[in-house]
Amino acid sequence: MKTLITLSPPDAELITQAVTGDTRAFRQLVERYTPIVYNFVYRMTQNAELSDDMTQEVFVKVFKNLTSFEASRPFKPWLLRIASNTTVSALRKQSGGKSEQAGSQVVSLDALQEEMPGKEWGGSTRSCEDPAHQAEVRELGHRVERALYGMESNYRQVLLLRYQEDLSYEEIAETLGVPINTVRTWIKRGRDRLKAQFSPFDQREAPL
Amino acid sequence: VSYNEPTAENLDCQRAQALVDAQLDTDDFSVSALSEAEQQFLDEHLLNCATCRREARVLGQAIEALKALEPIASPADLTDRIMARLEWEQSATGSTGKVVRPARWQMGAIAAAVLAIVISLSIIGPWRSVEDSPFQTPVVASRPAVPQPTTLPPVSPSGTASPAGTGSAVKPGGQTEHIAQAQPTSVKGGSKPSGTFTRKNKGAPRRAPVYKIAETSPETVSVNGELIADANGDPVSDPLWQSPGASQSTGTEGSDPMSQLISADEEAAASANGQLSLVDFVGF
Repeated sequence: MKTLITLSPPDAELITQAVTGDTRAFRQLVERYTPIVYNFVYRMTQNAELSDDMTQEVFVKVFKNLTSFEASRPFKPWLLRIASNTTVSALRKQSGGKSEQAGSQVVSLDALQEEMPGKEWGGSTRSCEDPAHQAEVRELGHRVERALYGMESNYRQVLLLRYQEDLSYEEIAETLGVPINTVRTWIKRGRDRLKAQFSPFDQREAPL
Repeated sequence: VSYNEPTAENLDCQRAQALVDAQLDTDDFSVSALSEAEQQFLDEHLLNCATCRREARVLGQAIEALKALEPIASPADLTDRIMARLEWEQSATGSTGKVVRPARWQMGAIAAAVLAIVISLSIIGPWRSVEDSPFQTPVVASRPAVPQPTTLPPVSPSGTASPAGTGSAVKPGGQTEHIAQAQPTSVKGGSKPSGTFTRKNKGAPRRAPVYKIAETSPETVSVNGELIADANGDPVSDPLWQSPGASQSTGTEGSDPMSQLISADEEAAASANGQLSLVDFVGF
């Protein structure tokens, strides 16, 4: 997901104002980043109610720790780090302390579509295109969702940060608090799982 | 497991997949992550290997589909609810948003103080009975039937008579408060009544001061010559209204006539009932 933030004032300015007690500045930050945090948490948990709670929790933590944040640094990775930690903790609690695999059950597409009625699966739809193409795009979206929710949460996390939030490897490492080589490994494994989910449906000979 | 995972024998396929990963790993897609030679090798391999070509195609599709996933829209009122929650948390924890807790060293100091108090009390041990400790001295056994030096004049808030030996006054709020009962309070050692709590120090039995409460005028009350209530029964000095507990905490028991009066009075009552003496708590 590419989020083009053209709003002014910039994050650093809002953060500086918020630290001094400017509630309106903090509200602007919340308005700006709530969609990002909510989307990330939802993609991780697949639970609307939990995502709502977690998003609130994230911003409470942000507010409480804003004084320790250096306003000159990029805000988004820091915010997503808090979101990531909060979400992973919630998933662990939900799974009753079981392993990472607890959050990696494959969710049926029917269930997902029931949960989000009206949502177009599989990416942006282009109404001007033919129905066959739209169906193919939707089908690809289904597969990606299924692959994402079927993999371990750390792999899902890095793929979302990389390909939805457009974070660099370095930013992901900073966000998750892990070495950059770990990020490379996780992304590679996440991609392998994506590929494995796609491959059985695509036995066709690839065109040259 | 991928259905067409490259085998160890197929080193070219492995190298080609590594190069595809390297391409995908780059943060700057405008610059090729591969050298010219690597790019040439990859192009040639994909041209000749259907398996790797399919793998690369599937992977590319999956990543494009992942990038194209539409964001999940957050509830419209979520920002408002977040701000409301923050406001609530702020009011609950203070303007900094942090719960104020003692520092670690402060916690240590508090713990040490509590420990010291517990040890002190265990040494002083006013709750220990003689049977429990070999160092006990009975405090109160019996009171000699000494004639009362004076009797509390009958004073009531309205200046009307009250039962002999008692006094009362009205606090500013209009509540009547028992002041004292003048009694000879000299304490002598003797046999301990069964069940009476005693002090631990072995020295001479403490002698409680004797207070002379006299009638200075038909409507006023004095203690040791000091006027404590006027004709209306109102206090003439603040210490009169101090509670026994307040007297203890300020350490003025020795100098404050009223607190001493109360101490003596309560001790007498406690001793008579076989209960813990107030002054025993203070550690005499």
